[in-house]
Amino acid sequence: MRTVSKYRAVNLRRTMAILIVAVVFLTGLPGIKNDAQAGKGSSFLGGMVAGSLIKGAVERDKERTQAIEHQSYSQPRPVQQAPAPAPAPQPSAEARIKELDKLAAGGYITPEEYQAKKKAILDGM
Amino acid sequence: MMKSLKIFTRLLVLSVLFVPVVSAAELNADYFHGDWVINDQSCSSNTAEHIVFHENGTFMGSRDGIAEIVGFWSLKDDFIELHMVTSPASFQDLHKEMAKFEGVYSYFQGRLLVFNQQKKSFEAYGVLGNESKRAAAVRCR
Repeated sequence: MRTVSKYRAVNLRRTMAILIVAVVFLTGLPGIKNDAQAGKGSSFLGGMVAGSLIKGAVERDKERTQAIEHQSYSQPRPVQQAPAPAPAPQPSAEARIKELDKLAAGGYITPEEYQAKKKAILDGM
Repeated sequence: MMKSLKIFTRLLVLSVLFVPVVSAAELNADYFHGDWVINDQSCSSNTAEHIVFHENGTFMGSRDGIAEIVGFWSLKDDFIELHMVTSPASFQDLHKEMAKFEGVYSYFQGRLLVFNQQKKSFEAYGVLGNESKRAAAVRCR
């Protein structure tokens, strides 16, 4: 008789233990959440800030890429302008003085004009 | 065995009836005033993230005891609106790209959608731009 009641007491204790575990699992302890339940990183607010910045940057890159692609498909590429021709090289001082000599010998310029021009050429050297 | 099963069933019914009474904390600004530890079971943990909602409408988010986010908060219906100022560089441990924001302080507007509100804890979905995160908060004081 005593063995039977002892057996029942053990059984009851075991049942109570199972019961407590079941209640805890079913209702959840208020305020106690494990990582899997809460789904988190090491910083909640910081994670949101960093995440939004990264996603924002990715979105902007995507939009920029799409805009560039759209532009390249919808608009003809501008024709590249040929570079302007380089100015003709300036004749040397010697050549210019010879030219000046010819003009003076031909009487096209006065001796004063000749002297002034020659001086200008020599000053520019 | 049958008796144990009966006890189990009765206690199960009682626990189910008891839960809504415990969890029916009122959602008002007063409820949020105080210090909450985020995603951590221990208020005294050195590495824990805390959010302190002050009665004057300001709040502070800190990690490892260092303030990282400050701003204004207000309760609107079932969500908390947050106006935050922070340096994203504070979170370079989460994303190394944030290092380029060293010395830069920016403004962010976010929302915390509150649910599963208990007497001393709640859960929330945080939404900031395209980013959303879930968190559990437990009251410390």
